[in-house]
Amino acid sequence: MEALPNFHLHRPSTIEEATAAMKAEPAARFVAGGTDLIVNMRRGLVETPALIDLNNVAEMQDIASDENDLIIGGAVTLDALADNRTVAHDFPAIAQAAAEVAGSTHRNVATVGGNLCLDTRCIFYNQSGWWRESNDFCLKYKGEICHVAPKSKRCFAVFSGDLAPALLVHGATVSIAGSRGERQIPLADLYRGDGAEYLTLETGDIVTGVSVPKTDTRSAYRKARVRGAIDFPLAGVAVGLRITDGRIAELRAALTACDTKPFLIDKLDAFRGKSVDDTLAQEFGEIVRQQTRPMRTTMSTPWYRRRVVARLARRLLLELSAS
Amino acid sequence: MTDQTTARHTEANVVLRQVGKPLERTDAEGKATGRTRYAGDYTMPGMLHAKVLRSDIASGKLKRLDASKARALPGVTAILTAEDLPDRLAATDMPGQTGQKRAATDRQILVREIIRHHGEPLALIAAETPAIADKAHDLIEYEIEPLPGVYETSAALQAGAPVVTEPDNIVGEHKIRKGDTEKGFAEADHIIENTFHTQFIEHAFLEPEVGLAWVDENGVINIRMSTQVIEHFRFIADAMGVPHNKVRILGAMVGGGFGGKEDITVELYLALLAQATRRPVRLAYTREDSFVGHGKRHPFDITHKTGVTKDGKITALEVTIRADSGAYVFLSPYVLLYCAVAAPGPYRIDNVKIDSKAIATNNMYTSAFRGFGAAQACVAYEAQMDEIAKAISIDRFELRRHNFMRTGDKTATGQTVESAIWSDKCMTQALAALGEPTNAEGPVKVGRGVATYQQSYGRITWFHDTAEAWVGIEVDGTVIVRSGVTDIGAGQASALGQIAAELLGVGLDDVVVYNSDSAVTPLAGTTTATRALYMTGRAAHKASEILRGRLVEFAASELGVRPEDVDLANGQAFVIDNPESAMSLKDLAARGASEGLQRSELAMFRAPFTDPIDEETGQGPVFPDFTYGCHAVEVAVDTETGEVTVLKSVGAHDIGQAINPQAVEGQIEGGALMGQGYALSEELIYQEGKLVSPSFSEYLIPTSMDMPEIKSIILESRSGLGPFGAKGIGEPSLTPVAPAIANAIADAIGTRVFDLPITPEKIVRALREADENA
Repeated sequence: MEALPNFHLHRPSTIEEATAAMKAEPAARFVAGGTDLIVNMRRGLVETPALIDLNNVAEMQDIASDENDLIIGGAVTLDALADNRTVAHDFPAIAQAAAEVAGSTHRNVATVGGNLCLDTRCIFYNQSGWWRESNDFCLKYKGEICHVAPKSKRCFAVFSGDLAPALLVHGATVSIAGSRGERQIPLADLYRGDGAEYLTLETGDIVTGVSVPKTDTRSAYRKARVRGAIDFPLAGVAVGLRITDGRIAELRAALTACDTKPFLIDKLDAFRGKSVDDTLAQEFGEIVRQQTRPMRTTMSTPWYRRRVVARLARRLLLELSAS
Repeated sequence: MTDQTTARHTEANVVLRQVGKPLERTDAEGKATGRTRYAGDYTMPGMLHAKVLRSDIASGKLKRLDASKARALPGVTAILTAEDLPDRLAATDMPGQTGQKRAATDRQILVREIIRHHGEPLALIAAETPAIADKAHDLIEYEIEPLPGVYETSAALQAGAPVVTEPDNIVGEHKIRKGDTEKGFAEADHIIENTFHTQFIEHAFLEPEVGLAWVDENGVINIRMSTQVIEHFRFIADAMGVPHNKVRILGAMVGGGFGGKEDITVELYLALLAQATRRPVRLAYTREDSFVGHGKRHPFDITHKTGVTKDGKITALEVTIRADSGAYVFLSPYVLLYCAVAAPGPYRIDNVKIDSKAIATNNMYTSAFRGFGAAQACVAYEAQMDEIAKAISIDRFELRRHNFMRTGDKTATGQTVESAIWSDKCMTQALAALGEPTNAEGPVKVGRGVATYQQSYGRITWFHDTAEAWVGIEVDGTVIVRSGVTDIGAGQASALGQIAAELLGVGLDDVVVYNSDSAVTPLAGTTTATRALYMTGRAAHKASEILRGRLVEFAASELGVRPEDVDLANGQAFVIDNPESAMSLKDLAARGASEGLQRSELAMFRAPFTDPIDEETGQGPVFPDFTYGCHAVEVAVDTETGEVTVLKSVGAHDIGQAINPQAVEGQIEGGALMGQGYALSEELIYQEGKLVSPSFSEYLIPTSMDMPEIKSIILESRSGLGPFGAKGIGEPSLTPVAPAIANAIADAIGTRVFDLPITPEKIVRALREADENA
């Protein structure tokens, strides 16, 4: 690990101050937990003269409810999210995903906004400057070639945030504050589908929070990884299930760590009206597998990641239908 | 802390007052409070900061190296390249040998022309600040022409393969021949053959390599550093072209070694820069430097062909061993020898044929790593035992019992083992400690496995190994021990204190141990090869016993009794049958001093000395002695995802005599963790010789979430060659762990993964293949 470069630190206490600080220094970066950004700065992957710390921004600190939605502030820590009773009870996938991120020391500072904006990862990217330079860098940063797919014009660095799939199956929207004022977009629209330019945010935009509609969706999240802590997912899957009169009213699944963005699985409407059994669960797993196309961005092979995500999806569906 | 026991001997057994007790180690408080100073904590006024520029490809020719821009950078004090070090080479042979002829395996210090591995050093930088050193690093211009490399041992042996090491890439070969394997196979009812593969792994010590060097007023190059081997001062002096007494290495408390700080690391770079600049220089490796800068554990391919009768008697064994030695020789020939000697395991086999080769490639060089080839051997022989049991349908534990060596049996090299062999006892106790089997549900399967082993402690006996220690008693009755032994975290220094305290009748609190200084403390040899307690402990024991004799004799004359009537304990000399008749050690030492009593002793302990084994047959003694034991585990395997959870982990080892049982438990627990990583998740991935996993985000050591509670069972046969009958535990605690886990997984899923690490992916693939074959 290299030394942390020098930077100015701004500590705004309102969203307005934060966006103003960014306007004054457009090359600055927002930071909250810093568990992703600071590591990348030390590796020379992020070069910035200034950081704008969002940890003191009052409007982004709370988990609250209104009549229709659960509202989670962007600066809420993953620990706070995982420990919240309402979340654990009514939105279990979200609490489970938060609890599965990295290790406890990370979760103690890492935030919801940070996890949603987590930089994409690749074995050719998350390396020191000396190491990357020996490959003439890569398409994601400073280079011309994607070493995962040399003929590609697109970067395949993988999005590995755990929270996003859990929020996707709950139909979450994100609130964004920026130079154009505030706006709300479906979470899926936060991601562009390119490993290099992976977010749709514009300069100065802040993910201030997430709204999750209250429904009677049962949900769960599981990730495949080698160790019991710290690892990014090799593949992660969230499943959301609504049952009416013993039959599927709605079935959703979303994946992480399988593409440059988290995404909802298509073609699940066909399951509506059916009851969950082993055969259906197997079909469901197969649909998930077919829509999973990971690239060789990690030490594990795409073959394993596709296979395991299908098995986990099938298992989660059976567990949810039995609960 | 002292014990009130008065009688020193009983009929039944030796009574020990200090040894064998979990005393608070002398290094415990400093570590717990953060006061212990590691090598990286030392600074000096006017200190420069060093950095190493390394090759970013594995095989090439250095066409141009231009440091002029870097040299012109303000704050840069020195840049050294191969041109600045004419004709200098660095030794890569076994460190700390005394008088043996050095192997002709010296390597270039900095690349002159040919680059043989990823990370090979091109230039050394010294600058006023770390930031300037970093900048200078980036300003050095170089051009490397890639050359064809060779990255697989099989390819390296082919005709026309690039030659990494002259003449044919074979850097080591050992043969062992015992009995007649043809006859043995003819007597067998079954012949079972399997090949096992182990991977490159990283020592992953907490403290990356670090040191600080300066030239003192006598022209001596002093190097304060993190190392297992202060005896490297000799190799450094040779490489510098200065007399041996002009280089001094001072150790500090070491933040983990595991063999990774056995070879030269930063000390030569520090010495060169300190000599060039005549200023103190500090060099601290980053984690990436550490990953690419020191030798790794050898990957091995080991094939066992075993003949066995239908009731489970092994009649013949042929083993073929190949090790990847990487781009430089280092300790590969010795690691290979350890593997060959260990290959039959703790089993009595009359007909044995072993062939082994270490082969050069353009991968990172491989060298010492806890277990030193014998650990890889165990991965193969213990998996083979389970495969044999499965193939001939007999109980795998009974198969082992049927074939275990017993005391007095000979090893495959014809060496008679005279110490206790408690393999059976250890296995039985380890299995019992696993308790009731855990229930399995659905796709999760539970399995159990054991591995037993035979692992040497002490060095190869033709090295004629020695160690020295000095023990003295001050006029106030307190005790000082001096010995060069490096303390790499296992309590090597504290153990010497405990031994001296035992023999001199004081508490451990009354002893101070000075260690790890090549100029001031008597040289004790390396902290490697599970030899520190055995060798240095015996030296301290010997010095203490001589000193004790003098004190007892003096006390006897003062108390008016015979010396055999006097014992030392609780800070007193007293008459055994009349403890009221006593004098304090303080009075005794002061009285003695005024009478000219010699209150210190320097002693040397010599291990058994032998000649090298026969080259054609491998026959002859190789090691002083061996430790025996067993590790047992229970695992749960998710057959859908391939995820493994280690549920229970038990190490049962006969270590002869625990000097400090708590320190022994530390070794067993650390070995259990390290072995679990070896079995399940750790692997250095090289692509065309380039390390693609030089960080802890891809190199996966177990976390606390992955570890079960580890049970340590300490058996004490008191039959070892160490102090008070101790054997060694540093390496033995690790050796059986990975094969025990591999066997448990095979037991759980009914098929075997033959390649370490056994990742979820490999398990899923093995299950799929088993399904397809069924």
